[in-house]
Amino acid sequence: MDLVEERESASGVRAKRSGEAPLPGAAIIADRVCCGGTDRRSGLAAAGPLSLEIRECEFAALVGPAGCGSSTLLRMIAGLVPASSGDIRVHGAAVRRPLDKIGLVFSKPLLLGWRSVLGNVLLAAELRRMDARAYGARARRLLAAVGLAEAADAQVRTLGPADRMRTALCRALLHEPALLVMDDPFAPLDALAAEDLAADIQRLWLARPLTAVLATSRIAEAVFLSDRVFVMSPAPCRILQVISIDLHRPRRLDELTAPGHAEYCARIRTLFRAHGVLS
Amino acid sequence: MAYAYRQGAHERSGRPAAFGRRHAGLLAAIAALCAWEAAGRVFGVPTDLLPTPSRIVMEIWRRRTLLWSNGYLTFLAATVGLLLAGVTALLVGCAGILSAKILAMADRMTRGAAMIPAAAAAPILLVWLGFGMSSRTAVAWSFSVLFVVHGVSAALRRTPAELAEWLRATGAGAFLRIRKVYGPGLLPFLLRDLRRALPLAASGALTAEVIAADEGLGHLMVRGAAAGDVCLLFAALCLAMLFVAAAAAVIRLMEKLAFGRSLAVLPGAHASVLW
Repeated sequence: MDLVEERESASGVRAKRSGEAPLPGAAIIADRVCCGGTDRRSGLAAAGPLSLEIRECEFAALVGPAGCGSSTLLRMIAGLVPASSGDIRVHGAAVRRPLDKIGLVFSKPLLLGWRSVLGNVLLAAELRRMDARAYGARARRLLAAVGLAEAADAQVRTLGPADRMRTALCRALLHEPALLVMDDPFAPLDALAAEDLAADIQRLWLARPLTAVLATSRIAEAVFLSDRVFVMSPAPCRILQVISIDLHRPRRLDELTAPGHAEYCARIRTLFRAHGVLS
Repeated sequence: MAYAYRQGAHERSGRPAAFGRRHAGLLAAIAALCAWEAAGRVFGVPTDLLPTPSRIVMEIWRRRTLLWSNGYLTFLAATVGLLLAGVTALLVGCAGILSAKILAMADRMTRGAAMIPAAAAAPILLVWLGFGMSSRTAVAWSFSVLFVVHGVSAALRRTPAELAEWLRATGAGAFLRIRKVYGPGLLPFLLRDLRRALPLAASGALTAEVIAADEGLGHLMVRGAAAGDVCLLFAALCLAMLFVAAAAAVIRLMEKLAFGRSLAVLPGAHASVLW
């Protein structure tokens, strides 16, 4: 199934959602999870106790200031950091070890300099012992979907920061994960590049139904992308409010300044102001 | 107009200026050798105190058979010692990839071992291993191994924690991680450190020969010093320098052939292999 077909089938999923029909079961359930003290080596902040539920095929964003514990929470969901108490379940199964069926994007693209752009995307298949040749066509389709078809055979050092992040995104999606976890992919980008990347993330997410969780401190991008925004407090990590974003999809970049979008951003800013995050 | 003139002048002087920048070290060395030669001839410095460069070259040519038969053994010991240091660094690196605790332990051990003066430890190795190639190789290894191991473990420690997390999330085994990611990523650092450790390995081999050997460039130096043959001392020293320079050039060529310009290792940076 190519990306166009996937997009068509995915549109059915979105139509059901906009009609406010009951959504499928929860993809992620975090029940009073807590992660101990700040890890000096990794710099991960302590998190919790907190509870949240992210539904199947939902795009959820954890928005909070640096050090609020959202990255720790994402790592707990991915099974990279053990929860010191509480319970996390992904697709019904308790998370006890790193989940290998998920797509991971970090704030650094982590591309290997000795591999081409396509080679970096295919690395995800090679490390999972999947047939890299069989995934070659999908890798090229993913790269084409984010405008990197011409750069497939280029060296990664020749790419700009945004294109490196797009390559990392394609690598995370190569093995068709049911869950995409993104830890502030906008961090190394300027405002314009971040908006552009957000549009690409939305395009890829709409093309194939999957649950996506994004941790970021960028309010506008979080509102642009998400079905629900979990507004997080600075340490101790708490969820201040869950805001459902009722904006039609696909969302366009020129709607970032539209009243609906701006109102959601203003609500989040007001919450942050009330908790001393913003002055 | 003045601007155009200056620009023209800059363009005219562009090539020699660029050549000068690129080969500044070589030009400085040639200038120093010329000054040395001139000073030796003008002031009539005795040859058995400080021979001129031309005299040293003549001495190398005159005693080429003796120098080559002894130099060959020194170069062999230094090269094998350096290669063994590389293998040791690779083994430590692989162990460090498997376990962060092993990496931290290796790091502490290299820091601690760096406090032992290698030249002072050389006689112990010679007592243990006796005369011959094995003891010289061991001393060359002991001089260079800490530097190479430290370089590889430092490169590993600079690897972002997110890369290890991402690799864990792919479910890839240790062998696959080393083969696909860490091995190729460490290779530029290993080659760079081997190139930098070349003088150390050569010093190790020479030290072993100076302490206890009946062959090798170090032994020739001891003989030259005992007989007051300064020309032989300088000839042996120049040959050792040439060996280090030639071997460094060979490793540099290997680096270029293997990685091209895309993976030039920058000092203190991991960014050149990881974007």
